[in-house]
Amino acid sequence: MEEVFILSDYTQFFKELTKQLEFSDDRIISLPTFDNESDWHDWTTQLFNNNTINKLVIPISTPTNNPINTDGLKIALHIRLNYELSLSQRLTPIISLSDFSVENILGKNNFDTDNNPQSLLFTKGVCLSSFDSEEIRKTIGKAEPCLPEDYKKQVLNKLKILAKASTGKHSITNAWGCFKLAQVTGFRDEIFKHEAISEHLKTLYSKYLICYNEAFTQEKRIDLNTIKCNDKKILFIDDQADEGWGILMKNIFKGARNNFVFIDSAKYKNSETKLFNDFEGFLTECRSHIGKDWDLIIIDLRLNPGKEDIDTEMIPPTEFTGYKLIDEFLNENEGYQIIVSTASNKIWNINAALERGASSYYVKESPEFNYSVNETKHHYENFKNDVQKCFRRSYLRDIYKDNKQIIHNLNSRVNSDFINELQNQLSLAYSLLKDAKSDIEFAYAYISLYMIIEIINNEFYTKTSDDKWEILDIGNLLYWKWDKNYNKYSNYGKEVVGNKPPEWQKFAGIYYQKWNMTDHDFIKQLYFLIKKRNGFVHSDKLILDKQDMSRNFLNHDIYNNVGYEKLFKHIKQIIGYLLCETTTQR
Amino acid sequence: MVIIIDNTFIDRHKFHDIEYLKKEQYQAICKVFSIVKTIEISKILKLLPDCSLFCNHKTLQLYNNDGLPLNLEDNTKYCESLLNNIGQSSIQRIEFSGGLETNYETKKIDKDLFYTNLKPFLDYKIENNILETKILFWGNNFQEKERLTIIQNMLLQIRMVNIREFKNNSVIKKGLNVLYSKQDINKTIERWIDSKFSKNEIIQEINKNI
Repeated sequence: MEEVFILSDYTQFFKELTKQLEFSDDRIISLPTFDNESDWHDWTTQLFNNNTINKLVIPISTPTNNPINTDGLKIALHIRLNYELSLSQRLTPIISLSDFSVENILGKNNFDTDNNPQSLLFTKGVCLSSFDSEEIRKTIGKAEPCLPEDYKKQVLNKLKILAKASTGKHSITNAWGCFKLAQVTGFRDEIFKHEAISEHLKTLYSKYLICYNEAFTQEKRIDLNTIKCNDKKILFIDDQADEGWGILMKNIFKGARNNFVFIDSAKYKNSETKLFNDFEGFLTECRSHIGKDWDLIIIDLRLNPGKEDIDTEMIPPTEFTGYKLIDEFLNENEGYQIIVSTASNKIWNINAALERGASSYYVKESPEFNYSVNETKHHYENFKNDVQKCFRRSYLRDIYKDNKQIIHNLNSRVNSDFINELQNQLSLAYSLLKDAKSDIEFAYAYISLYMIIEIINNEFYTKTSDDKWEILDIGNLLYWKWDKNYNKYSNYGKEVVGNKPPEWQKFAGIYYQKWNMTDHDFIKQLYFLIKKRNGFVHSDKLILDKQDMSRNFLNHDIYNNVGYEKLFKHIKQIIGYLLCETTTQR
Repeated sequence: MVIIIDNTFIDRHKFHDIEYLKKEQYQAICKVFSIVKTIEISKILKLLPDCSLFCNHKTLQLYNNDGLPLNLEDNTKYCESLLNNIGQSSIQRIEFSGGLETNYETKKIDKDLFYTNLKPFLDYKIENNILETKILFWGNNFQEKERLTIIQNMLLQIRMVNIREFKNNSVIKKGLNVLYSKQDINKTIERWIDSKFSKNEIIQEINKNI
């Protein structure tokens, strides 16, 4: 005997009907009162999980105290689209009961125009019967399920389910985007437990989209490799952090452990209405993280949806709180790596953030696009690549910070053309580094930074009439040369005469003779750093392609940030010495 | 008068034409409050003697006097106080919210549906001076819905009751009266008996006449 169940309200009519049809008590289901669509979903899930149901008989107008309705079709829709059930459960044959003719069912009822439940009557696996017990029996007998392979063609393609007009777009996009990302990163179950997420995903509209792309069942396509971020410091700012995104991102960046920080927006919201009651407090906490050593900052663009998520109003992107925060972070440190996240598909909003200096962007998926799981995975791959790119470029944060400090220190000590030139050159070099993408652009940044040494040398030297090089206030430049016997630079009292001496030698003169410094290793390293520059400028392959004993190229780092960082370390020290001298002079 | 308190009203223009509410004839019978500050609650309370229907957003957010949303504790306190005042009066109350299951018995209604049906509801009040709340739930053709309900109940009784008992069954008689208002329903029933109509045939005939 097939397991056939019937929905009943235990009125006298249904008691007699179920008796005539010989339904035992355990096959008769009573219908509770539902508060929202989530309840319908959960009820159908429990119904099928607690029973083995082969066929289900449902009156179109459910027997409640309500007047005539079409709730029976809505229940059937929730079953057909219940992604938490197996496909065979979803496709259980349904016998719809009504004594109204099809013409009257379709013509006289006011159907929900968002869900159009009447369209289900024209899908495979749904049969219509009158309340005549013989007809019901015959219909049950011949009712056949739709085959799983026909699910899309014979069921989903025939339904017409639209987004509810006024369901908060921001909220549903938030839930959808969070769920889709969770789906491909292996945290679906955890995210689905979150009521703020699941309440949206249990609406017929979301259910339809999920079923259409089988977005709930594609475990094989999940990327279980979370983002590599050990020891990285990551800040996540999103007004919806409390509604799933915080937990999701914490899981995606779990390698960062306690170095992943998100602002708990729940602290600043009314927990029932989910509206900010202390937005300023939220913003103050966000601002408290400006200046810290973040390797990556992810900021949502529209942090105050009540004022910024108004579709009909053209709000300039620069007015969004997220944009303003990006501006504040970058004003503190241009080297911060920021990914702007947004549920908006308006490209001009994203462009504004990129133009201000954000490194990249992540568009939260919207149900409007209903990407397939593979597309979502591709989207996530892009995000991962962007994150890694940000991590690779996070050296900019420290260089900018030091650069800014040096420029500030120079500014506070001396005001002259020489100092201004140094400051401008430091800014230019950083700017070239920040924009460097190709090998050659990194090399240009390196050369620009090297120019600091030439500027200093030019400031301190004059050529004398007898063809010698006089160091300002000190005397003539001595002929500094590496002495292998003593493992240091020596001059033996010999002065440099004639041709322009190499820049390293001129700087050695300032270093030893003017500043009385004695670290020979410092000058030796500077010698090689300058030689690297010369190798590039003169296209000298012998220098550029020089290898150590392990066949590592010694000078190829001019083509990436490492070379710049090594030179910058020296420049920092050099300017430190320079500032000590100018202080002493004062 | 109808009072509506809806902190999400600011977004309503995106989904429905609500401009009509600014017109004098609607203003006279319907007051909408969106951002309600605590200081303004007393103003609303003063309107209650003239109020017949009070409609509020289910998760109602009230605001402090600086215009900032109240925290949960204060919001609950002020909302309860306001709603208690309504509860103690004879004013009907309807709750609406996005995604709420519409139920006439429990007076709960989906927000979209509420605003869709608000204009016909107010128009009906202006034209007939009657607050017909069924319009908010079922729209302008609420009478058709009531008619269909009566017919549906009749159809169920027809299935249950012996044809010779139709004349004594009030539900069937009520249904037939709705359906055949110009005919003698007893004659209709007798015709069915004389013609030895099966119940399926009777139901088919009724369907043709709906």
